[in-house]
Amino acid sequence: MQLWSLADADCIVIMGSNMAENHPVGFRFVVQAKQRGATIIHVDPRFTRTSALADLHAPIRSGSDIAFLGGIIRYILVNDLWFKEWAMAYTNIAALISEDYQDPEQLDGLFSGFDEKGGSYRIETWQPAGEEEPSPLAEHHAQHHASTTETLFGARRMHGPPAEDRTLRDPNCVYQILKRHYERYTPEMVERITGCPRETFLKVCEALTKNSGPDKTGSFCYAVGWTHHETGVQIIRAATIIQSLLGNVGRPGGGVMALRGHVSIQGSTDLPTLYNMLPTYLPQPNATKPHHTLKELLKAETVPTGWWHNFPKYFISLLKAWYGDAATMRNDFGYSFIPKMVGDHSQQPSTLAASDGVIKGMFVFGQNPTVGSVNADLVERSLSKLDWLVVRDSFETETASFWKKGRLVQRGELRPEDIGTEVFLLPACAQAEKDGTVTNTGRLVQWHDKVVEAVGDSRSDLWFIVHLGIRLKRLYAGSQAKRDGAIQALTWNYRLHGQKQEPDALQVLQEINGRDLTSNKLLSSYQELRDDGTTACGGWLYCGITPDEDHNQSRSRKPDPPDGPGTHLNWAFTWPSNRREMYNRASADPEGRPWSEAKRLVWWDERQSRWTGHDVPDFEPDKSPDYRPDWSKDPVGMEALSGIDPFIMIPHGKSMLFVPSGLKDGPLPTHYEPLESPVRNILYDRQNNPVTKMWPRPGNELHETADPCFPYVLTTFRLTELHCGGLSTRAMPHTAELQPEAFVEIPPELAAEKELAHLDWVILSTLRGEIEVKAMITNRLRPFTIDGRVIYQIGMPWVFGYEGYAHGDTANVLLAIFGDANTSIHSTKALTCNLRKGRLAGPGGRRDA
Amino acid sequence: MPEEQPPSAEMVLRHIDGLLRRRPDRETRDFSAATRCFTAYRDHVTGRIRDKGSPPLSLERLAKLNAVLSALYAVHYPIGSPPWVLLEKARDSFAALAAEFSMAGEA
Repeated sequence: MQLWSLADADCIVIMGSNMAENHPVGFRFVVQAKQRGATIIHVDPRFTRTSALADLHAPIRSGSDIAFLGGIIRYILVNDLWFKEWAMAYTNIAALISEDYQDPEQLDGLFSGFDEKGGSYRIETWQPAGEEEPSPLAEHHAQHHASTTETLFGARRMHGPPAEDRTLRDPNCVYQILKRHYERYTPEMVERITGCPRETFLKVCEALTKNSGPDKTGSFCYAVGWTHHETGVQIIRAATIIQSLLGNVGRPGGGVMALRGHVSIQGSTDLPTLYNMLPTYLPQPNATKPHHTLKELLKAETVPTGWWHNFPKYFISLLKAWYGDAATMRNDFGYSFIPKMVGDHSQQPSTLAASDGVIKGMFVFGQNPTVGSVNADLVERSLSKLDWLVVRDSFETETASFWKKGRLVQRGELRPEDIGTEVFLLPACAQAEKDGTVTNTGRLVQWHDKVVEAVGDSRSDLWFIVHLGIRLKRLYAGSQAKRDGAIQALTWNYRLHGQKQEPDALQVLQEINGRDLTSNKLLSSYQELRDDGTTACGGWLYCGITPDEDHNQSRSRKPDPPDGPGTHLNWAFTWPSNRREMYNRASADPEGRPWSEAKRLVWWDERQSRWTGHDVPDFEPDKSPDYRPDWSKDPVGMEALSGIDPFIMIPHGKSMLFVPSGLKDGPLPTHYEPLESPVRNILYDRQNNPVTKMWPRPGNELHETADPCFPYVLTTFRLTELHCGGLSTRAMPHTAELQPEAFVEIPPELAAEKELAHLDWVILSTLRGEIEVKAMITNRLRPFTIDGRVIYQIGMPWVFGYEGYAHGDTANVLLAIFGDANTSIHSTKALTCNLRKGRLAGPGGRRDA
Repeated sequence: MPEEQPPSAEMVLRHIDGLLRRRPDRETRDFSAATRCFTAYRDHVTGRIRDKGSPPLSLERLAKLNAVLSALYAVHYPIGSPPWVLLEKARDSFAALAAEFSMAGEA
């Protein structure tokens, strides 16, 4: 959804985010919604400025989010408050699931199909009765076993929609499974697990359900307070279940808003910097899957039904964009040039692999991992094993100076003369010193112009990549080795201008947009892409952003007038197709009429036999609401989706309340305690998510459950004044003085127990490391009563380091490397630690108090 | 300080064979030990090849050695179930490569 769509919401639940402080620009739309009468709710362990501006603050213990959200799901179902017309038509609530499916309620915390030795699930029993459901393409690599892909895809065709029980009485229908799964998530149970008083919890349920339906919509906003857990994907899933039950998807003011942490983190996901995806959510080929040839890849990965059936067009057009004339039908369009991944190459395993000597060199752009990555001391050790390290930044970051000033050097564990890593620090331009685009949290791509010349030898990231590519191509130009073919084949004809030979950023954007190679004209829509090598496109979802040589839609800045439709279609470009709300077919009822006047967005125009409205319809423009596939003709792609299937990226076109394929840790969100927790799981004997990615090794040890040595819950957070990894603002006097040094927030009750005064030094410790910071005694954090026991939570900003003007120890020293089973993302929000008064012994004036 | 003796191909094979025999799951110390031994061997070979002026055939062999390392990585950091079959094949490739490195005086 778009940020401005929040202003149309009647209720906004901000959870897993301190939006007012960390997304202050977007938060103005929350304020607008409040001014229009919306109810604003903040669910968070800390009382922040977001809480202060909300109507209701619901405190919960970090890591108990699924218990809270599961309680809302139960409340909706038990009180029969779901939007029945919407959910019956647009979700899989009536679908019948295999009789072999067993729930954590039956298996004490496990779903059926768990392989205890392998630590992973087989998903056969999660499938719809009598068939196997493919997952959306972008999720294919979440498949659990290499063999599963072969059985789920390929030549298989679906022979009809999944079996359903529209009466919802069948015990194996999704509705009944949901009811059983969340039956024990009562308000009392929510209070026991989360620490949120049941009265407060019920107020959240009432506000959200009261403000959802044909005339009203509600939104959820989240940030890394949800994603940075080993159950992060399932937390978000729980919110999607709520929104799908309440009909809050694809409608004005409805949705689940992912607040991205950096200005263009959405863009870096789209294009992407992710190891397992090619640009715009195409799968990276995998050496352990049947992906050895292009034909095999397309056979294995092309989803039979839904929009992703177009995958071959997008993939082959990408190969043409990258390899140009060297990509021919005869050589599989250069498919062999694409690297095939073999395992999890995400950041955490890569850090560990570097420490084992696998990785010899590293480029670090736009990141400061010795501050921003978990287990920061282990990160330093890994960097010290590299042969070379290139850091591009506007300042000398802690990552660039670890070899002379790092924590391990300060402690005497490493000596600069023993570190073999050759570090190159290259000055980088800041945003205003370069042309380019930023893709923000709502998929909104906005062009920005260079407004000032960069100082000294600073260069843009684009300059660095383009000139590095030029040099690599020159280096390998005469090579006869097959392995160098990819570099030789790469199209790299970027125009350079000015004294610094700066590449033309618009040319890059046009390459991403794509061209018709028969005419060399820019494409205006991804519907024009073909799979015969006659189109080239660097990212199909961005197609249409530069539809003509003199038209760059991302430059456009024309907002709607105050009495306009409010979708602002002439303000920049939103992928795909400049569409503001994905799945906006769901804003109309099954017959194609808006659910209400208040929430009109797109609708079926009977007279013109077309979808129309305030937004670009996310549907085939002339597919009538009464269209039904003729299954006797073995339909594929969009032919197989009916006129009432809004979720076109999903093979069956329905929102999946129950997910048969695509997730590694279960078809439904279920509450587990965080990997490190001071309490036992009240719901199951199974304490933690059983498929969490764990990499124990010396220096990365984990705490036992309820370990008395580490009794406190630790969470980390950001500050308004210091941006992300911190240095870009710690190095600026005017922002540094606003947050001059590191601190830890401690509830007064814990401070009293520890005889701590405000601004006393304290030592925080885990098995990974120890740090010292000043104590901030504050009511922002309150003690939680968890199942009758008082549990303290403390919180610390993670943005500090030793460079710049604002100094302080790095919170990430305390954290451990482990990850969500689906994404491998680290956990920074719910771990355990100890706290004691005093200072660390050691150099630099550190000593015990 | 005396230079540390580089691991032999036999030591690398012992580590890989141990992994294939035990097939450990969710425990990385065995994997790390195998990987560290392998990368030390790889680095030693790389140094010898550089000393010889990086002849193309040697670089080809080195690329294959890195492919074996990728297979080891695949079972250490799998996306789904560890692809043991891949490591079994890579083990045999390594044995053949090690013989070639030895013949060429690069290990």
